Amino acid sequence: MTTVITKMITRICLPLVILFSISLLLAGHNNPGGGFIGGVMFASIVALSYVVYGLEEIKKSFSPDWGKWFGFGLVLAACTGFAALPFGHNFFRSAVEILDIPLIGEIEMVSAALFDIGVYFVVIGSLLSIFQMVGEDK
Amino acid sequence: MISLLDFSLIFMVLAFIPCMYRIIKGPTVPDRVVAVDAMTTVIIVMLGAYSYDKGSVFFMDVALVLAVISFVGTVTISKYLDEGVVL
Repeated sequence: MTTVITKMITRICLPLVILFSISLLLAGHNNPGGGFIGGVMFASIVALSYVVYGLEEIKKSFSPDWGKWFGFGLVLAACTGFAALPFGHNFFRSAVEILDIPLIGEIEMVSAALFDIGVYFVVIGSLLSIFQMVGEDK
Repeated sequence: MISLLDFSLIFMVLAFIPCMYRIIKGPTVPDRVVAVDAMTTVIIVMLGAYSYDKGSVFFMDVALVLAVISFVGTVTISKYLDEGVVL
C-alpha cells in the first residue's frame, strides 16, 4: 500500500485545496478563476484521497452520490436564466446588485455567480462519478 | 541592461533541455514520470519569478493549480507503476 508520507501529505493538503477551490470559484468572472477550474481542483484532491487511502476506506465515512451533485448543478445552471427577471431585466441577462454590509464593505452580488456555482457542481459530479464507476469496475 | 530576474528566467528555460531529453529518450516509464515532475516544478518556479517580474498576482493562481494537478498525477502514476492498480 501507499506509504505514511503520502497519507500525511494528503491529509494536510485536503482542507487547503478545498479552500483554494472555493476561493477560485468566488473569484470568477472578474479575475482568473471560475466554476470549472474550482471544480477541477475539488475533484482532483478528492480523487487523490481515493487513490491514496483506497476507495473502500473513504466510502466508509464519506460517500455522497456524485451523480446527484451533477444533476443539482445542471438544474442550478439552467435556472440561472430566470434570475434576472425579478429585477426587471431580460431573460439570461446578469443582474447586478451592490449590497452594503457593515464591517465588511460593499459586496457585488451578481446572478452570474450562481451559474458558476452550477458549473462547479457539474464538474465535480461528472469527474468524480466517472472516477468512482471506473474504480469500482474490477 | 538585462535584469537578474530575466537572467534567471533564461536559465530556467535552459533547464527544460535535460528534462525534454529524458522524456523523449528515457528508457523506462519511471524516468519519464520523474522528468515530467521536474519539468512541472521548473514551470511553477518560472511562473513565480515571472509574476514578481511583471508585478501581477494572477500567475500565482496558475502556479498553485499546476502544482496540485502535477502532484496528483505523479502520485497516481507512481501507484499504478508500483501496484498495477490505481484504486
